[in-house]
Amino acid sequence: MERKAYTVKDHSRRNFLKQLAATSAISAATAMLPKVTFGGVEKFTGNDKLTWKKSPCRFCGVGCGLLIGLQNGKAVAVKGDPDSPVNKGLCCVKGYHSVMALYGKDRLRKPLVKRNGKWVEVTMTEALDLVANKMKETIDKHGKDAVAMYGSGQWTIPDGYVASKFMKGGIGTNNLEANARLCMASAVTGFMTSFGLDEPMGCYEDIDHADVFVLWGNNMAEMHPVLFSRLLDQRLKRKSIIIDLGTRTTRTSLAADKAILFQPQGDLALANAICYEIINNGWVNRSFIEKHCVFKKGKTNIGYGLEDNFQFTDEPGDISFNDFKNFLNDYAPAKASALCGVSVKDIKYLAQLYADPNKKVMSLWCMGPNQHTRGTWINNQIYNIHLLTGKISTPGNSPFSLTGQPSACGTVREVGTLTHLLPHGTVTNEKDRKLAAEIWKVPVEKIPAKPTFHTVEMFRALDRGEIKFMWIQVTNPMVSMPNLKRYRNGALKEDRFIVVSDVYPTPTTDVADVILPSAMWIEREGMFGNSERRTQHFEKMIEPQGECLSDTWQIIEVAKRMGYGNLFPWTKENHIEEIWKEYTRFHHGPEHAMASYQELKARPGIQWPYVNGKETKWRYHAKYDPAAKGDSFDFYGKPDGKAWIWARPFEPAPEVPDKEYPYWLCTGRVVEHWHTGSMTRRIPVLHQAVPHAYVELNVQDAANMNIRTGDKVKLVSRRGELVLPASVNERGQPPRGQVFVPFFDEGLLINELTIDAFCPISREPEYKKCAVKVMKA
Amino acid sequence: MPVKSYLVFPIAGTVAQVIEKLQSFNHCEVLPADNQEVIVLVTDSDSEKEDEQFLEALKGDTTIQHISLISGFST
Repeated sequence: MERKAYTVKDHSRRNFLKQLAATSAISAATAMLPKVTFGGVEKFTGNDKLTWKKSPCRFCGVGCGLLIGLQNGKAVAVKGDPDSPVNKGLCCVKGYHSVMALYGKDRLRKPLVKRNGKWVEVTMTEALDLVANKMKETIDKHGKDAVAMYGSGQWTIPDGYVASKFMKGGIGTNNLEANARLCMASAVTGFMTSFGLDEPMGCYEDIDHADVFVLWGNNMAEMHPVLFSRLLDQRLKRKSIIIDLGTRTTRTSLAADKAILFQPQGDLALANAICYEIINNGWVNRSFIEKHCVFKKGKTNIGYGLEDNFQFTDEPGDISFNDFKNFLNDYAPAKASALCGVSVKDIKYLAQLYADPNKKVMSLWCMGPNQHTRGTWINNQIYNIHLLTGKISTPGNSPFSLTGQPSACGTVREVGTLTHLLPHGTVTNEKDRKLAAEIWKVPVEKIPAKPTFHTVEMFRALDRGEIKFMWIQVTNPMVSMPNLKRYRNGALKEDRFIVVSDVYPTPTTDVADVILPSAMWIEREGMFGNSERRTQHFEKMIEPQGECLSDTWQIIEVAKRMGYGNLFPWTKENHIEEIWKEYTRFHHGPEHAMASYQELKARPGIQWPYVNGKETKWRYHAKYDPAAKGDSFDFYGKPDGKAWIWARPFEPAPEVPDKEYPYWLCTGRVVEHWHTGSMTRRIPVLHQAVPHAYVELNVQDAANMNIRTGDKVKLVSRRGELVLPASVNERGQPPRGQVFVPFFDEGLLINELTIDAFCPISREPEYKKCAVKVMKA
Repeated sequence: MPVKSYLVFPIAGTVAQVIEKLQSFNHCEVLPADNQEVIVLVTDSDSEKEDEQFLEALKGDTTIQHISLISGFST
């Protein structure tokens, strides 16, 4: 499908543009001056007749509360919700412009079917009939595991819930995955292996208590700017310290009190070295670990998942504190320094900060540790540091894993839209299957007990032909998958049938056979769940454009056509409320109880566990958590109530620079664009700010190759090559021998070069490290 | 017919003076910060020429320390 320049529809209302111009300026001011506030922005709308309604932001996982200004059936303004405890009235540049993403000129408004290589407009009824018939035909011919559904953390909670019920309880296949596998699966397995339950024990309020913030491979200033402004605010107010640990110099590094560069993959050695120092200096919180922790080791040399059908199961084994101490001898600062590139002095400094009994410490991370072939391990290792020092589950002492998508937690992790998950627990657990079968009113035998394909393997199965039909909703894998060429070619093979539900044309709709136009965000009702266990409701505020239909209702309509209508006995008017009521039956205990539909509608988000009208801000401590027993810590996710400290070694990345491919390639994002850019590139202010991808080069490396900013540079990996403009000494500055490329640009697909290796435990791919050669084009 | 927004940073102690001056121009709207000395300025000129003339007029203003263009739209 041809895609032209990104522009918004002309509303011929200068007031609208004035308001947008004003919010851009306010956004810029708040980025520069963290505490600045502006009243009276309504004047730019030209009248006082706007209706303001609350919604969580559509973009990242922070979950900022927005107030959406509505006028004549359109969303025309945005301001931060001062009642939201997340952002307290502040927004980032994406949030302020978010409603413009609703009105892109090339918004998908009609269903499209590919006939004889050409797109033909059809009615929604025709399109849904075709999807249902094709899905049924595929199951009849090839079996139920030949069909798959792939969504994301942009699915609302109801979207994910009906997807799970349809696929697992209706069709009876575990072929359900989500883009969240590509961004926070390692966080999940980190939580599960260390604590037995997913999601953070702390919350954003930790920021208001912590004395030290340690950011592990997390460019918060660009990826989570509103939360980062809260860190800066606390530094102004309380002199708290921000330490940036990263592999390149970013805006976060420049704003930090201290920036420490480590070599790619060196975080594994660095974390162990910090533990070594804590133990060997006698800084361990002995009583805490004796009462509340046990020590474990797992398998080593665990592979990288590069081969199809790769299998791995870890085997935890008991070890003692002394075993753990001896294991760390390989990470004494001098030895670890050689592996991670961090000086002995800085290792000792970090250990002292973590161990200082008078300092509360918050660690924050996101894609750096997660998109890592040892992602589960580095998550475990950060927890190790907090557990050894007892700095956890109390205000300000908080290892905090951030997410990237608005409902990665609420939908993918809590509803369980991954192959191995159910809305409560896992498919491998008979008790969990029985609970699902009881609530869904299906025979328990219907829900398969064995997980099928994780995301990378699902797309490999599509390429191999084991999967013939795939329905992709609310994500853009033909930009975001690593080793992209293989998976695009697989999707385009002759007898594959691809359905894509989205709001704009993308490289993923390019491989589709049917495109279903989706109702976007506030064009329908829904809920998102953010990084701090906060569920936020938003109502339908405007009518969907054209024939757009919510992803929830698309699935229900197809399910009805396939004979599963009894699973979805709801009306268009009441289905979100009814879904919420049914879904929350999975989470009725004090460990995960959730607020009622009416409460969610009335408030700017509520954190679970929500017990007797009270939110739980800190889990695993009896003072704050109604599920915790005793009078202090209780890590009740594990049967004995103890957290696990894991001995996890340093192991190299799957592909390291060599003579032929001498540079590290790291990929990531920029503040202006969200994920694959399919929405933010339709917002002129954001698109004009960063209109295309680029490659960041080290100043000296660039000089040696006679490359200046704007020059064309060719990157070549073992999987593909790409020519893109250079950026030298601009936004980010990689160290020598490293380059960085943002992945938002569908015109410059850096994921054609990345490697589809993954963490064998989480199955989350590696996007931060592979080897490339670099030359002036 | 450009619509533009700027951040205006007055010389310390001259915020009220700068606001008054900006308000005296046609097609300008100002939104001062509640708690800091910074002003959001939105211009809604009839033509590119008027827009240029306005900027020229501001250049000579000694009470303005710094002015940054933040966004612009052409309709």
